Amino acid sequence: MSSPTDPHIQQLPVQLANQIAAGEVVERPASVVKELLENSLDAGAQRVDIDIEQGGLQSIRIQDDGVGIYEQDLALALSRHATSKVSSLFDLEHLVSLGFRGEALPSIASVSRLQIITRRHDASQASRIEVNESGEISKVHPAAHPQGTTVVVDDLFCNAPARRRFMRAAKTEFSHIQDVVQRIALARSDVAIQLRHNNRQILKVAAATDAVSYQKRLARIFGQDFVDAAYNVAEEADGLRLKGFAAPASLHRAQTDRQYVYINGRVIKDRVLSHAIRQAYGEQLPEGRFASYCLHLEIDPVLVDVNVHPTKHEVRFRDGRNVHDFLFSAVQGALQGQAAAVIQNNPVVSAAPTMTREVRERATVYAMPLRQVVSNNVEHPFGDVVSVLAERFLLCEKASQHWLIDTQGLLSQVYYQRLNNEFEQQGIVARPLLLPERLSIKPEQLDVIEKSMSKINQLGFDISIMSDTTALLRRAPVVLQQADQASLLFALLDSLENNTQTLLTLAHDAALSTPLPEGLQALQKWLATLIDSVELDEQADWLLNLDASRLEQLFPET
Amino acid sequence: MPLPQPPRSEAELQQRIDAIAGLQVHELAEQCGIHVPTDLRHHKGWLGDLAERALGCDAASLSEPDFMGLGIELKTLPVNQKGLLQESTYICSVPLKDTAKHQWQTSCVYKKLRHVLWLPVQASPEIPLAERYIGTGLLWRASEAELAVLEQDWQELMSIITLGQFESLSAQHGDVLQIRPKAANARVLVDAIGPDGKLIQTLPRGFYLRPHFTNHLLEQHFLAR
Repeated sequence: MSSPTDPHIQQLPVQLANQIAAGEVVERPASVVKELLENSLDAGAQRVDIDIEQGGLQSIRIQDDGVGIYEQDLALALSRHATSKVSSLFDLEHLVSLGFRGEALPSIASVSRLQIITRRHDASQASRIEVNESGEISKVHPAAHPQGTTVVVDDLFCNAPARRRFMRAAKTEFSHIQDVVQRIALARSDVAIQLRHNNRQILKVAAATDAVSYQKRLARIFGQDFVDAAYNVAEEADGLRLKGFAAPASLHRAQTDRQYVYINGRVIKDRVLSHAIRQAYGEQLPEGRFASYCLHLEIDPVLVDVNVHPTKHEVRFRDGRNVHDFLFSAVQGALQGQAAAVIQNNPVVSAAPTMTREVRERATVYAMPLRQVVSNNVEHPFGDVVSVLAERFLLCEKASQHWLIDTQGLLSQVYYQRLNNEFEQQGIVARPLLLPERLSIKPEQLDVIEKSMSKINQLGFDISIMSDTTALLRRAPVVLQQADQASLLFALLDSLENNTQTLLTLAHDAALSTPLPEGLQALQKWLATLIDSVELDEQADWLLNLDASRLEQLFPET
Repeated sequence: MPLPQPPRSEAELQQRIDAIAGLQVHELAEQCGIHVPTDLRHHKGWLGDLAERALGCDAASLSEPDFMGLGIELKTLPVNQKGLLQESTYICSVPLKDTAKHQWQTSCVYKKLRHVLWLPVQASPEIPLAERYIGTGLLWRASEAELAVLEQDWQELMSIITLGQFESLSAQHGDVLQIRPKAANARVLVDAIGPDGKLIQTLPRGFYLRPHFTNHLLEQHFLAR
């Protein structure tokens, strides 16, 4: 049936061959992030910053502080089957690096516009190379960059419209990216990782140096509930070692999204392993629900083949059954509490009733060590807040000068200024209370309410009378929203009855019932905002300069 | 008190909202002549029913807004001591079959969220149900921007449902909307189209509004606690 027009066999153009390979390696933006992030880790990076635009379809930018690429190797890095990671079959059988096929960069470059900027520690300057959407590789240009490498991938799949059409909303693509980054973040807790999407910070984890900082990282990704409840897994047998954490079945989830498994630090999704772990949970898991765990398996590289699929998620074990049985019994043992106990020694803390919590929180502010100076992240003229005295006064320190600030006096002044401004301009801005407050009132207060209703409304309060002894507070001024509304209203009624200055009274009363923020850092910020809004005057009655003469006055007899 | 007729205008509804704000649950129940259960565990939706009776809801079917004449949906919001909502808010069930005929403009999410009466109710577990306070109802219209966000989520979620990808569907999908199984009893199964296009049995699902959306809205309109 042959005809003269049947096509001949011919060598594929390089660009097309790369695009075909890209079909396997670069399934979606998350695959690009995975490949590049693994390159960074293989390059010994201590920190990696990942910036994503529009789910990675618009731009992916990964910067590391790894060893960098030799200038003369840059062009080679972009050709297929070129890598510094393996050089012999022996290396391939004893893989320790994450990447090895030498496919990632050329594949990604064939379906995007790609840029590499890199500098080795010993190079006098950085160099840059670009590949455009037609696959044309630029010359190597000098550039500016600290030690390490930045890879920028713009307009992914711009020349593969078919693939681009398969992409989901940016948000969905980003959630795949986030999953990849989180999985790797728990594999390599020694590396600081930052992930941003459309300039918004999504994940930022510092390098974890000890158990405590590792748990912090785990909590950022798996949630505090996991950290509080998970069992420690630590088993070793026949050259196999399993470490990590497995949540009790009671923390089951609707998805498999918190099942992280690693083999020799590599993110793996393998049926043999997940089957073994699922079996360990047995009947405890409800039908259709999934367990949460983060487990690291260490195995002699000779006993496992990761060169099964370009994405390297799948593996093949030389003795699958043995690995399966080991995993099953290790996890089952941990869940039955045979291994070390729960991560933290303290039991799961259930929420305390509100009253006792408030008391405890106050106590923590009070119990702050006297001289734990908080870094000067928010400035005001009095330096750092170093201590809180009597739950009301702030001791501030700057260059061995000290001040005492009366928060009530300060608040009172700020409140008065704001109320007065509003009152004289657009009128006092008020909002409804989410839950109106029911107040018991005395006959004389009822009198005042009835007589001065319009004045009360003018000041931003809305009350209705429910009975001779009950009023309902519905609305109050926004400026005073941190204060206790009921106490404010009673102070207002008093003031109206006795003809005192209502705005001053309100400001003063609100200052008394406004809670202080907790923690020196929060106080520092809070104080800076307040001071910023008052006219600063050394004579201010809320400010005391604790200089030598002032202190001497406190002890006149000595 | 006889149960009120459906309100004829927003102004009339507003008057009724003002009248019940600040009442305790047992007071409102007495006005409506109904008995307060000891807790809501076995009486899910009781509070919503109470509010509907007190305010005069007239919807004839579940797919219509509660105040059918005014096109306004009533949503009670259980808020904690800080005035915050901790759970997501149920909107309506997710159509699992014949998904092709559903459009955003005619979807029940759109119909129900376009115009809402949010009714906060105190929900701290240490306060007995009867003694909890009814909050200030907020008549709210979704802005263009809010509708756009809702639509985007709805489109994404419905495309997952249409393809029967229940495996990959998680409560993580969607910025402000989410889909979750809604059966009180996990053995109740309904027909749906599975990943292979075949009829399968799965849990019934509902659209829920994430608490951050609702909390943001409450923050904009009420005093901070």
